[in-house]
Amino acid sequence: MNKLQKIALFNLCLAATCLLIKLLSLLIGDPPVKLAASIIMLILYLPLIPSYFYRLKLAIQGGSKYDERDKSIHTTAALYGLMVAFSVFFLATLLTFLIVGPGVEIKIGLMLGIFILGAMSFFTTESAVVLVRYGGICKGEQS
Amino acid sequence: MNRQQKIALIVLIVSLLGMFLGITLTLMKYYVPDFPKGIIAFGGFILSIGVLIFMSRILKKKNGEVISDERDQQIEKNAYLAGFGSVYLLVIVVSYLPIGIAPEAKIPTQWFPFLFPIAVLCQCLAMSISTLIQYGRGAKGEKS
Repeated sequence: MNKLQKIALFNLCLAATCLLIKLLSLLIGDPPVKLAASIIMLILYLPLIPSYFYRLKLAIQGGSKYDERDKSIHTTAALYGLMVAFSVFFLATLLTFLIVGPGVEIKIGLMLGIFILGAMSFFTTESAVVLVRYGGICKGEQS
Repeated sequence: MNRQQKIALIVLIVSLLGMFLGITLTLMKYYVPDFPKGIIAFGGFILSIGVLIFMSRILKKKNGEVISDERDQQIEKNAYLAGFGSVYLLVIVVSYLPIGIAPEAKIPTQWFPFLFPIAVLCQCLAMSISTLIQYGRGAKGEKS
């Protein structure tokens, strides 16, 4: 397993947990549950940021740590991630429209909730695709 | 101009035309009494079929022609990335801007179905512009 795979695995664990918590908080909807979910998600979000900066640092360094193949894998993964985020966002807005119905006004905060759901889907899919493209968790170069 | 550039140029023109028509129709709906919705919808349908027939005529594949190579595929991939990236930028603006302007405001749900066509339009514009930029503007690129 190389460094990029380790980063992807780490991101996948955090993003998938965040996604599950977000889905649960949307389904349950109690204010205390939502507050607790938001705090847990914020704690889980924080390590995602340095891990992405670390990957960026590897990409800038280039060379053997981040070659053409790694770049291609990460571009494809980002594309898949954006496609899934796009689908999740519009599916969520469509479902809201179908469930609530036309002529009803909803709180603006719901849009932000849907956006966060899309962002978490992006991180989860991107990390999963990176791992799949490298050929699973156990394969790849050692680092 | 090669096949991909032609497609990108047609998509760009149609998207800009669609955006212009969309804005005009939205304004007309609010300011013109007895707005003929049915005629406009029928006109739009006929226009889109016309565009599809026009595109299929122009982009007809010749026998034995190589449509795309590695470079074209890479450009297409980057264009898709730019398209979806711009849509997600739009999603960020749509999600955060109303909260910044009026945190206590509410959104009518009938606006939600319009988000999808706006996003598709945004993606088409970004993809075609990205493709044209990557191939080089104007008369550059291979002939087909």
